[in-house]
Amino acid sequence: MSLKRVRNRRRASITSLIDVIFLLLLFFMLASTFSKFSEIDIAVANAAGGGQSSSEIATLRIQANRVVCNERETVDADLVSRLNELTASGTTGVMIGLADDVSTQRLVDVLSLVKQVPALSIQIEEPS
Amino acid sequence: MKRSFKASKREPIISLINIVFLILIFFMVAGSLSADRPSGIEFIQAEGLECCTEEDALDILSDGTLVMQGKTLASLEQFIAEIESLDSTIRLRPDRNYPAQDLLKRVKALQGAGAKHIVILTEQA
Repeated sequence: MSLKRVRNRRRASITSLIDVIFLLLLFFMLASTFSKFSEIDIAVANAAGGGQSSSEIATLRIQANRVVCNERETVDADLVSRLNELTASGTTGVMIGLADDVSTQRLVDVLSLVKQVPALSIQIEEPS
Repeated sequence: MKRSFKASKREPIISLINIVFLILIFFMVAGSLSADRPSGIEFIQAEGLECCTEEDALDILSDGTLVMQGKTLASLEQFIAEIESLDSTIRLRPDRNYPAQDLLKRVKALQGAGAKHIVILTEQA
């Protein structure tokens, strides 16, 4: 037995349309994010196993608010120009050491500064 | 004057829908739906790095807890056991306040287990 339903051919109400659109809008507003991610390489190396002479490798020690570059204290703003000077005088790489109180954010800040000098190879000293 | 006011009686609701549609399309196009992120993680902020990469990674919270795809892992060994291969890039997303020495210890452990290429993910500032 087939039941014939009487179709109501009235126009769909605009209010329910708006309801659905608002729901969609709310969903996308709450569920979507705008943050974008980048990536930066990280690898640790044994401090002794460089194989290059020490004059070619600069040492960089990261502290909480400054960097000691070849025994000379440098503020972050001067680091790139200091590294450029070193590159001009024959340095090919940096060995990065960390003080104990350094956060990951700080490490990445300095790493992205060092990356601005593309001629330098970066090595990170393995933790003690 | 009076006549034009009368004619536009139904217009406000149409323009409302138009604007809501525009906002909807904006959020659909500009935003991206993300996998659930562990609560309380503050991503590392960095500028000037090459944009953009997928965000599937091993999260490391500031207290050292490992979280992968919303699931807390007991140890790094469990992570190594769960991933298919150490030859592909290992992606870490540590909290910005996580001590860097601890991060390096974990990187060292991953390298010791045979990982070739390890990257850390940073959020575009």
